Amino acid sequence: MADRRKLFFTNDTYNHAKTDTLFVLAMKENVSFHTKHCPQYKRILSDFNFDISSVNTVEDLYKIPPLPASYLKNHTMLSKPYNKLIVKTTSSGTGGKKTLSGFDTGSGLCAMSMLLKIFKYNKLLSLRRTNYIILGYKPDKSNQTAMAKALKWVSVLAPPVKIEYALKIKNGEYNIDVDGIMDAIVKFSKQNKPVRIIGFPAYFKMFLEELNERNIKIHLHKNSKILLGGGWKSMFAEAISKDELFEMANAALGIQRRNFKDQFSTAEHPTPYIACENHRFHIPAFSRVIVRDIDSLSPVGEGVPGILNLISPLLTSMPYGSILTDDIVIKKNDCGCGNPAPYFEIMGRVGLANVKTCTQAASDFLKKI
Amino acid sequence: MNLVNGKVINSEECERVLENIDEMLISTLRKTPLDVEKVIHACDCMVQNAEQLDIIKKLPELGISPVLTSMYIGQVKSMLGADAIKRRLKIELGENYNKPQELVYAHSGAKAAQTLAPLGVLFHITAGNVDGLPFISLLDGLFTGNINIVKLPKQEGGITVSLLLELFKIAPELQEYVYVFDYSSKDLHAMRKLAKVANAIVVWGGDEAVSAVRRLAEPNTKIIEWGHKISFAYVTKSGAKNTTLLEKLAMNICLTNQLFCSSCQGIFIDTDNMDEVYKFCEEFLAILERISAVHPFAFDEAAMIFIKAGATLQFYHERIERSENKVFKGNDCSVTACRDSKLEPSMQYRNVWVKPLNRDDIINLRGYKNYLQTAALICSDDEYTELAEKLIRAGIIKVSDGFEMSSYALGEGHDGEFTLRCYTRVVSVQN
Repeated sequence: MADRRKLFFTNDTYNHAKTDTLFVLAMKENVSFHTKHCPQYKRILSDFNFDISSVNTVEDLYKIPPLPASYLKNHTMLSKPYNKLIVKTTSSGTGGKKTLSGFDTGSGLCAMSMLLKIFKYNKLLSLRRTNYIILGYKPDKSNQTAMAKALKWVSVLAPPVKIEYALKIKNGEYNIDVDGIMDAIVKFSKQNKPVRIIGFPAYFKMFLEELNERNIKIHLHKNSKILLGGGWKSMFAEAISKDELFEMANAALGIQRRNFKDQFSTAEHPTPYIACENHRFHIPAFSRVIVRDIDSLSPVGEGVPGILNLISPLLTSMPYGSILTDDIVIKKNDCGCGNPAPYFEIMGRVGLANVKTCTQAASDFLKKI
Repeated sequence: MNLVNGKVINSEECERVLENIDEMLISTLRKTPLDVEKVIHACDCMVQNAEQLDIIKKLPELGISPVLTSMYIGQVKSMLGADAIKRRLKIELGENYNKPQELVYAHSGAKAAQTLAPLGVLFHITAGNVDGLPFISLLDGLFTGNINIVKLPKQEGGITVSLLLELFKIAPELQEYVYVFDYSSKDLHAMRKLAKVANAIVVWGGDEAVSAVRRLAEPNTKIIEWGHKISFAYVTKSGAKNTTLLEKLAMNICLTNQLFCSSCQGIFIDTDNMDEVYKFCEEFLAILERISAVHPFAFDEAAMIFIKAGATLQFYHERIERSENKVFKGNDCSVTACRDSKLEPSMQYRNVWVKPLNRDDIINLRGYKNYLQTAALICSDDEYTELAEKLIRAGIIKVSDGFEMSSYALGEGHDGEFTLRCYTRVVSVQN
């Protein structure tokens, strides 16, 4: 896995031109490895008469048959023994069918390097001691979801003073501790330390509404940040745009626009796509994105809506090198924000039956309040 | 859009209404009961000029095809004329529904008068899959003298409020009998409050919606469930040769996009032989493609992306799974041959499944119990009665040809019940 290591330790975090050759080599290495170690994956590739020697440039990556995310919710595919995985996650927070995902040691190291480089580029790393409000689950033995783990891991980006969770276990089930987070944010605002608020957009909106309801207006430390992830689908239903949410955040917390970050990622493809100031998800050097035609699944050109296909040689634990999501996106170049990498924007998610996402579950949870 | 006392109100005013809704309802209930004749008269006047109503002119903008629009107008006219409503009341509530019936207590000879009365207050939680459904649901509530609170589905398009405003122009006295809210079903505070003041909750929607209402309602609140149903077609060997009948079925698939409970989701073939299933698929695809071209999708470009991508992903998923299903893909439609005989929803939007189901095994459908609704029966005349009986015995509610699957005949039951009877109670008063 020498090529993978080289790729994930590169400093050209968002430079595709410089990393294209290496990326293709790493993908070839990755697909060959999984073909050898995962019989189910081998079967799928042979059903498509796929031969890895046909992939020689980034333009050829589309030839690798992608695995649909919906398929992985019903089928676990492993290329390493399950007990050899150092981190194990499942995809959905509550309800729905779960996708098993996880890292072996090699994938874990590469993932750490990737995260540090991406977060550094996006100015999310800090040595300043920081208070955290996590609008998500307090990790617990019973909760193995990628989201719960990711939320905890994000707190390594800046050394934590105190972490306050919105969802805590009480009497064996998760409950929203509204008073707890309200008290914490007021307390944090009085300390001369940055605050990071992390979680689902649906929870963040509720958090802001609760502040409004209680007539709490505060001004957080200027280096405070809001990191949102977990999909915007339920926010489409609430008919609220990112801009409106930002305005609300600015009014209630005094948070600067540049400090308002949202990210896209999936359990099967754990690469963080951090939105830039134009709210676009830039594609780091560690992955490539193909947008596929809604009829033929062939790659489409810039600016044409299609199905999002995520490609990454990160995992040796599972053959998730090429994942076909249910998201409809458009891909473009030249954002203008300063990040040279191409980016994608999400138009929405295809409503396949029985595919229930984390964010929907978050909305379901809101119903219980 | 929210409408209370005949006025469109904003969300702040809604909150005030929500706080005072108990008193408002009681004030209406104190008065003499609603005169149903006035409701009938108002409907009659309104439908005389249905084509001229603003909302009818706007239907194409809401993505409703011209064919469906004229079908809707025709149906509304035939359903909401005074004679039609009166006839329906008689069919559903009994010939003498408005006359008290004399009862005698045998042991004492004492007499009582028995009659029908409204349930009181109905809370309609409506679904978005049928255009204009909230309006139709609340009209049934008015025909039975009830006060109606309606929760609109998302993206309703303002049809209900527009029609109500027309109705109120003719009969302003109906205004206090109708409350329309666009609260989200996630707004549990509002939902609970409205559920609490209602005598019965009328819920339209899938299993999830029905279960949510069961959790929401207090034990002393009646729940009237119009849950999701599955409908299909049953085709015999001679039926498979009848192009006219198959075209009618294709019309149902294309005009409803398989979104209604009564829409055809798939086709069972009277055979055990997969070769016959494959042959049928090929022939039916040609018919479906032809009809689909005559009645193209009326959705906007963005919606079409999601509809097409959904089908593409599903086909790709099946390919990865090495599914034994065989897909016959046409332009904007598809027919999928499956080996099993399970009844299941289709991918919708002109994608049907075709499965073998020998006529002797029709009874096996009984396992789907309350999900069963309409079967389009496509066979020769001499097979019809026998097969219709088999379908009804398995639990099917309605047997028709393909075209009438999703149509309504005046006085026809709804999911095996008379709606108006569900919205009334039988009361007796000793003389």
